[in-house]
Amino acid sequence: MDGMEETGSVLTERSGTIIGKTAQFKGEIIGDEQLVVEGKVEGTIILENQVFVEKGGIVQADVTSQGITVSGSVSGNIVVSDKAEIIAGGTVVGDIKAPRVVIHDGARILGRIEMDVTSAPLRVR
Amino acid sequence: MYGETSEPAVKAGTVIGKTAQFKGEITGNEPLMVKGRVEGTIILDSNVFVEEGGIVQADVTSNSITVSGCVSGNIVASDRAEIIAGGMVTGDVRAPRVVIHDGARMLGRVEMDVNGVPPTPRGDFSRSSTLRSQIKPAATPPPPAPPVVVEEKLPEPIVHVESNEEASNKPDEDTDDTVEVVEESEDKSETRGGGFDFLRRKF
Repeated sequence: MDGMEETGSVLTERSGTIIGKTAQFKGEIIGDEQLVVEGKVEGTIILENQVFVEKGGIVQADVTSQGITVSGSVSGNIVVSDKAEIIAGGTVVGDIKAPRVVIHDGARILGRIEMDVTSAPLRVR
Repeated sequence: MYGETSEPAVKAGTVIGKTAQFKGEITGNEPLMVKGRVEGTIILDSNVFVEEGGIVQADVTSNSITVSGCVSGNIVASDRAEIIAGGMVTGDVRAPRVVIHDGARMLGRVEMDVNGVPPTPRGDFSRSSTLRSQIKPAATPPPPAPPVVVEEKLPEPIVHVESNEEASNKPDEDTDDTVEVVEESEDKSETRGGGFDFLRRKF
């Protein structure tokens, strides 16, 4: 599950974990490198980095990370310290807790979104 | 509930001006723009715009809603709910399409059609209805009329969402982003049945 091949994914130069298109992973993923899921992951993901669920990727896991970008499908709760983003075509079934949540038109979500609504407005960029 | 006076080109609806406070129920089928404050209930067969600085403490049922201000309450939109950067929603949102921009804030549940087909572009609902019948044969589709009672729709815990909302979509209802603003138009926002103790005007 380690790879630096040019798979056409987001991950081109930096090292990190890739779950390939035909790969199925069951268990717990812990680390501080970024993770790209093109296949299927069941279990738990705890990363101090970015998680990319690519188109066609399926994650059935609770995800705790710095950020997550979902173009595929995630079933599970998401807790990120920075930003959770759901691209058009991406699906999330579960709760999302993050300071920043971005849902693009065409993305789908069923669950609760928790952002900090008490403090001052967010500074974007 | 009308306001077509000084904007001939634009399909203007109701505007709650910046200094206006409205309490009660707003119903109708024209666009509503909130720059001031609304408490109560909003049921519109049209689009709702909560502008920057606008505060809505109400359950909102409408075709679509665009929030740049602040909404506290549950939202049911038959087409689309959008929260712009700087906008804030505290409450549950139920719509076939929900868009949250970066910089927007939200606390609450989001319910879209997850089990069914992907969100369809405007005007193309034939595909979803055929697929829906294949996927969920047991599901009883609701009457196509837009939902009227907000309170009964949202609090019930919904485990999965069928693609029911799309049945009541109006394909011809399009973006009304260009609704013009009349500052003095607080007095146009009266509705029958609303206990509006209305408006301390500033001028």
